[in-house]
Amino acid sequence: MEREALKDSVRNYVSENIFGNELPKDFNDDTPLVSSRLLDSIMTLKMISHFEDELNVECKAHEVTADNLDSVNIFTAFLWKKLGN
Amino acid sequence: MEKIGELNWRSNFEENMREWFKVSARDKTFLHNTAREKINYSEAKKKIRSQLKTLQQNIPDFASLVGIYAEKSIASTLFIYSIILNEKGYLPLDVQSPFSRVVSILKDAKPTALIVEKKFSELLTLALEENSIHFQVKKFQSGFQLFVFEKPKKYPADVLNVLYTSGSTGVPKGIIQTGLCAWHFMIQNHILLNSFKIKSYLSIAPYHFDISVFDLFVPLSESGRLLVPKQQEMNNSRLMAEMIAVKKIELIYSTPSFFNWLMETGRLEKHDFSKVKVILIAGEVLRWDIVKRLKKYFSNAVMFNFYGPTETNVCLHYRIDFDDEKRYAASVPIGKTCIGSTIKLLKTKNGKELIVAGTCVMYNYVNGDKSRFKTIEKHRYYKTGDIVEEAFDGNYAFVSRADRMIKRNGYRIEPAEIERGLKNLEGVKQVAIITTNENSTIKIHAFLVSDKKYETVFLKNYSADKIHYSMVPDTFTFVESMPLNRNHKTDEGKLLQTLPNSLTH
Repeated sequence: MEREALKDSVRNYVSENIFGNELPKDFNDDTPLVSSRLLDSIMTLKMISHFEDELNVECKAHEVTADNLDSVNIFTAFLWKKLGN
Repeated sequence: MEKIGELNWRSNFEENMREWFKVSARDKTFLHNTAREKINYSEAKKKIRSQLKTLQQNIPDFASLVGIYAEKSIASTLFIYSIILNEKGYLPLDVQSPFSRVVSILKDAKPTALIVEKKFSELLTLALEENSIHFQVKKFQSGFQLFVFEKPKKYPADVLNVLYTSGSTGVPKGIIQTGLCAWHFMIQNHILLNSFKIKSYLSIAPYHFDISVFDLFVPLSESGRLLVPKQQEMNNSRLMAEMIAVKKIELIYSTPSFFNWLMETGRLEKHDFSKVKVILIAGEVLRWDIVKRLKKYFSNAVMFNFYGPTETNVCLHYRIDFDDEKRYAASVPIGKTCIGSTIKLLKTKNGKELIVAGTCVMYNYVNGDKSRFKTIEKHRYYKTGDIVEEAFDGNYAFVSRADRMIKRNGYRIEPAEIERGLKNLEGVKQVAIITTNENSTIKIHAFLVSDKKYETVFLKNYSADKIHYSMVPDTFTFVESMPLNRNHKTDEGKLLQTLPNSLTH
């Protein structure tokens, strides 16, 4: 998978699950997701589980932090690394 | 214990706390965390003694409150014991709440002092000064400061704590709990749980949440050890699951939402939970599917459903028996009365409302509101607002709420508080808050009629600045006007139809 395709996939997930398929105008790929509480802890873990299954990767318990998840860009970079890049 | 009803309860509770510290083996671990920090009973006593000295020097007022504005930790846990042994009540404040809410609580509760974690003191100082709340800063132990206020409020001599919940008028309201309430809760727990010989406990609830009264005093009274996770760990279900297994936790006490979250996202199948002997569940309506799923992972655990609003702590309890599902199909029963509680059912237009009297009932609200009380045959009953049914076996079962109050993650939420927060936005004329419940997950939907439109990210951030995080709506929808039903009330069904399916499920 290409990095841009991965980012599209993360953005689509956020769009569908937080905003009902319509990204607001004031949202961008750097908008904080966890620290701003756009994503609550249930949604955060659900998003991780979704991409673990989709990409066949595993996130360790201590990796589930805002440092790795806080925006579309940050989460994409984290997953990209997990894919061995 | 034999002298219940004759003693000065406040000193009784303190005396018992002193006794619990005294009888515990000195070198036995009392509090510990995942960073391998731990403190034994002897060290805890020493620290408390030193904190007591500082408190006594700086706060002369008897029968008053001392607030805590700090993250949950071993240190902040010890502060609570020091405050109680200093013959004062504790006021736990949520560091994740917006400053406006913290300030409004401080203005209402008027504590004599506030223990502040240094990393929060600069911003908190600004918020207090902006609101003309005057205080002096005194030295406290490393990493903390003591803010001492002018003109504190007087509380009853046996005040144990003041816990704030969402208020139906749109502002938070403080509930005054006494040592007597807690003492009966302790006796009840001792009777229920003594045979399990629990030694290893996990504290999940924040200290501003009434479930934490159990965590603070039951492990201490049983010479047990209490695992105190950090806030960021509490938001990570995978870490929580690992913690329960690795630290050999024997008793877990939390809300249905917590257990649902743990099972949905914690990857429980990876761990062995055979050490867990007891699971206590409280704070929300408990569905059978949650306990049935829990039993698969925690097969050795006996489960109890505890019931009671913050005003009474736990006043009913039920030991979960899966054979009862046929009789109580809607939800797990809330059970029978606890020691210190008297229950009556009050006929209302909505059904039979559960009302509670006895020593479990709070002293009063800080604002003095008496509207939730009803006197029957000289006894003061608290009206819970919960409509219930009594079954032939003496168990009570929850039916519905008599008002708009909802529960999310165990937190009591009054839609009026959310509406009040959003109505302050420029251009907003009307706000309707509607909740949906899918698979035990509560979602809050805000519908706004406004001259000015706002984007969702802005509205989320705005809400988080004004109201408690548990109340921040999941969705915001602008509508031309509020649709009305035949009774001229907001047509909630029509409003919900405007949402995409992915947001309500």
